[in-house]
Amino acid sequence: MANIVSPFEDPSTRLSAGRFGMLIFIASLAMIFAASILGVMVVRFEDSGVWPPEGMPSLPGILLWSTVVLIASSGTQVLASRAAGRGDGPALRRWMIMTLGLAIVFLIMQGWAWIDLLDRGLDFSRHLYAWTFYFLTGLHALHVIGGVIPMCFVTARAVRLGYTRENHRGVAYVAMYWHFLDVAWITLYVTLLWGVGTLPW
Amino acid sequence: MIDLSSTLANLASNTVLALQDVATSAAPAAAAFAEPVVEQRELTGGFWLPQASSTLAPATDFAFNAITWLSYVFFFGITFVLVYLTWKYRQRGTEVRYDAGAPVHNTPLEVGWTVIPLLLVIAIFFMGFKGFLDLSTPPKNAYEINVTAAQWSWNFKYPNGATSNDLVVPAGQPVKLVMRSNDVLHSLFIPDFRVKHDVIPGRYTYLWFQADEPTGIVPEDQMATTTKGHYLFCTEYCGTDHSNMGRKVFVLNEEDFKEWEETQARWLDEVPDEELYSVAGPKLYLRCSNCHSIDGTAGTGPSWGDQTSGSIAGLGNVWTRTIEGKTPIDGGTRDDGGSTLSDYIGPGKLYETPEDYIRASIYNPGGLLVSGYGPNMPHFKGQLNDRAIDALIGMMKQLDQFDAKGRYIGKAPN
Amino acid sequence: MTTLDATRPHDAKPGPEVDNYLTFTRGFLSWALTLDHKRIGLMYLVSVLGSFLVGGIFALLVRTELLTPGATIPGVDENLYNQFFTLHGAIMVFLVIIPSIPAALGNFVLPIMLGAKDVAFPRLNLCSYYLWIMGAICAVVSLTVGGFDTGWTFYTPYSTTTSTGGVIPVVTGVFILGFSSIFTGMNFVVTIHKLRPPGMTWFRMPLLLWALYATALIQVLATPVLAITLLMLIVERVFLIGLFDPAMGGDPVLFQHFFWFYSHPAVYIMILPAMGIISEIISVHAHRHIFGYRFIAFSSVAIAIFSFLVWGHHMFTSGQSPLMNTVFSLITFSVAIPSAIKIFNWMATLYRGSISINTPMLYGLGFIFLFTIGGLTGLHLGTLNTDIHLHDTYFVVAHFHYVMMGSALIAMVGGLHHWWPKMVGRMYNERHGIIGFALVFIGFNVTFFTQFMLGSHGMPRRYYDYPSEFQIYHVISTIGSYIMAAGFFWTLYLLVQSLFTGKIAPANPWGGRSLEWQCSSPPPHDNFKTTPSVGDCYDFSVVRWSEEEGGYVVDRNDEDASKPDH
Repeated sequence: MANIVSPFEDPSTRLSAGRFGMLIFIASLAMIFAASILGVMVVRFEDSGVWPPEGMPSLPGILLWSTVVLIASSGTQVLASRAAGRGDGPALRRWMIMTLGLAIVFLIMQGWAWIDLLDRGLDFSRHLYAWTFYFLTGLHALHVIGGVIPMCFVTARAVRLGYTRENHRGVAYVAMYWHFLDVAWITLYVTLLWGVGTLPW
Repeated sequence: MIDLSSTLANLASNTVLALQDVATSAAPAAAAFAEPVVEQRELTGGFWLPQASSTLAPATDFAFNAITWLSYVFFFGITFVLVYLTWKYRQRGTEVRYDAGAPVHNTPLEVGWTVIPLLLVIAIFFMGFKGFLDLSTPPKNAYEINVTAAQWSWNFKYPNGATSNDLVVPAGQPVKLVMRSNDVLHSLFIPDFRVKHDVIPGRYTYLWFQADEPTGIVPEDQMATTTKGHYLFCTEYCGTDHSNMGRKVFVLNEEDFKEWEETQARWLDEVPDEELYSVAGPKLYLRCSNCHSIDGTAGTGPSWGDQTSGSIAGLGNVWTRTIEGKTPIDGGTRDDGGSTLSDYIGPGKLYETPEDYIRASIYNPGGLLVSGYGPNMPHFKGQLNDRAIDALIGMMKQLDQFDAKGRYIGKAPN
Repeated sequence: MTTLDATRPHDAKPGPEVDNYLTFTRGFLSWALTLDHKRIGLMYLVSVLGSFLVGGIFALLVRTELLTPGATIPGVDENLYNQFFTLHGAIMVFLVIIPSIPAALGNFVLPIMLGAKDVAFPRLNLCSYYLWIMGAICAVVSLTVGGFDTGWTFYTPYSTTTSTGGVIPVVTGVFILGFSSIFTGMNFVVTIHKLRPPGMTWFRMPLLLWALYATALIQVLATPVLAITLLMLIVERVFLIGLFDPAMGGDPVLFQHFFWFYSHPAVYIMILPAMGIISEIISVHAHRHIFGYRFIAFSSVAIAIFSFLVWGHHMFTSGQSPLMNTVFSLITFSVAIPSAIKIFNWMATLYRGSISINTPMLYGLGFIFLFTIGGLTGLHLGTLNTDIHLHDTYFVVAHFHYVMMGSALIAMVGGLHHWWPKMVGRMYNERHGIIGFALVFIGFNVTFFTQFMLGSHGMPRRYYDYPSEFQIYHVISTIGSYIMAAGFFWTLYLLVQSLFTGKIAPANPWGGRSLEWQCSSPPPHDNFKTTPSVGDCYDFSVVRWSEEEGGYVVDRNDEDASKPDH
């Protein structure tokens, strides 16, 4: 009533402003990942020892599969966005559910990797090698959880066929954020492989 | 400028003297302790900078003064123009006297006041750069002193094994300090030499200077109060007693320095065994006194004396203290707060004798913490030898022969 | 909203019968859940001023404790003193100065200057405010669990090992405040990009908007680095291992790199909006087209870019390589140039103007005076060999107070007087305002100029105890701080008094040209009924005093819309 929810009168300018805002927010989050990677690299190269240190396990192979899952979820998200742009409600519903499912599978696989490493004795506080792995993957997982929550709302609305060709801002924002997480994870994964010096094959 | 500075200096000494009068008359009890008279130091040097006492100080001062004079020119120029224009074009009342011909931009002017400051700052940069190169390149033949900083004391270790709490250096010779920290960041700063460098845990940092003018030296117990010597400060915030890490730098001519270094290396060995606790103890205690009182007052660390009664009764009453639960002991964690120190001392226990416990606490503090205190104490491995520890333990055992400041006052008459 | 008189011209005379944002809706919830940028700005203002009071009390405690060497205030020992200066610094930086101009004044003024109804994302704006509140609550919580004594810089390894219990809550608070700042910045960038009215090209924007834009860019790109650094600090404190722990192969100096990568740009988060305010104040009160518009605008952007490249000048003595020191020193000097350009352009703006000497203008001139001192002493600190002597002494303390307080906060107070009639619809007493300015200005200089001398003579900062020869300077400095405190309390009194007895403010009390002076004072809920058209916001030839309005009016507002950009 009394409050102006948006100063934009026309939905398309509102969407373009929203996308621009999302882009800036993503740039901001990218700085978080960039700084973490840089910090890890500095410490890694100041340490003349071998990583992983003697007696500590190397990265589990499941991370490679979780990477595939995440990329796949980005693909289904693209299809979801296209469906939204066409105003194709049922297709949007299908692809959003797929994306959400893959996102949750990704989280489970990351958790699996943690449990696996803890089992093999990679204690968080034993060495900066362990710290680096858990910190970077944990940071990314937090962002994934932060993305899955709004994705649940968007998917719920898509299931109710609540989006139209003109108004699908939620889908657009979630898609941008999700692709960013995809890129961020690939960067992190390469960093872990390169910084650690062991490839899974 | 010079008039102003001397006026300020006079004002300073007068005020301080007046305040001291107030302090003495208000606290006659303090006089009973017969404190040594504190000599009033005055700020040395000029209006801006203290005396320049190292060979590189003049270059730094030149840069400082050059920038300061440049700043005067800009500052007074800008202020004058500001006041003049404001007054000249002031508006009386509410009617705007709009001047349609006033210029709104002028490219040559803009370029001018971009380029001229640019050239000036480049010149300043090079002045500082040249001085900095000298400051960060110690000469090859420099005399090396190892510096260990810890919360909250300095330890200076000389090539011949001598150690000191204050920095004593030879005159006319470059001196290089090789510095490391036992705990957190510190920074060693000698204003009169214009040198400063952070002291960092886990790595070595360096600093060098050469002082030509000898300052003389005073006995250790007067170092805190003497007007001789140069100040040495810690300038990286390091906790509770950050401001009490200040010590003195004494510059001795070659002969005196050699002699001091020799005596300093041997002093502990020369103290007769029976006087170890009374002569060596108090000197060594100066390094403990920032954190450990001996009259029962709680500090950063537990007092050597008994806390509950406030009496100075020696080692005996200490053993009833409870220990901190969750104290890490030899790698593991013992989760049994509430037990007392004596539960861990005795044949077959963690420490065979009380002396073993004291020694362990000095070499590896934090093994067994007294309840209510954190793991703050730096270790003294390599800094205190067995004889020094004997002296400290001897002092602890006979605390009733020392006053609250750790000075030996002799056996109480029976 | 539809019941309002839609035909009311946007420069209508104010009166009780006209809608204004303060009385538009009533009740606690209408404020707590408001999306109106003006109300959010006002709530920020009250919160920030409240924090300023608390931070100021800690400053006075610190100054009083330093009256004599050793203990001065009974009961205040080293540990308590260390907490005082830490709290003073942390509150003033994170709760007061960083949000003061963008979040409080900027929120109020920015959309109106653009002729917009609100910022781009009003809900996000309210969210920023509540994040600020949560951050402030965390700071209070930290006091109840043992406080913190790390210094506002949180240097490791002291911050990861100190026994005070409040470190994690306060670091969490700063982390949350960081996101508040990021969201505000993001909101402003999008607003300026997407909500400029027809006719307002980039080079027709009021210079405050350029400054807020440059500030927002820094907020968005630098603050996340602080966030991740603080997160690493929390993790290290909890698990006793991290990138900054030397015992495990970490690097304690890395923390300083990260910290200053944010905190140096943060200085420009503080000073850039202040410079924007000064550009407005000087041109409006001199009734004179701003001199060198493009140079001032570009210098804001240049400062924002350079600000990311100079963090290492905080670390000349910290053990980074001499090569890095040299590079950072060189780049640092380049920042001096855009700042100097601004000062010269403001001075040229006074030339042949028609200058009203009133409170906002005095704060504006005071800013130039103090910023000149702050900037020139920056040269001493950017120069390598002199910084070795001056680093971490009171010289640095004096320098950054001249910049952060003498400049940023003085501009904030000046801006507060400038827009006060617009915000509350009342005029403050001009003579009282000038007395307030005089007290603050004199008190400030007495307090901090003395500290330059303390520092150059070698007095280190963050000292509880000091050699007695420094005492006279400390005494003078403390007296100055009391005068300054009196000035701020006086200013508070005169502003509060104006709410009750002040004259009703006209729409345009100073003769400003930008859009905020064309809606009523206080503005209506949605600022403008129709998007206004804009002309040259620095063309004062059309400004005229009107007796019946009791203020200035602007003739032929949009006539010059076809004129070229500045």
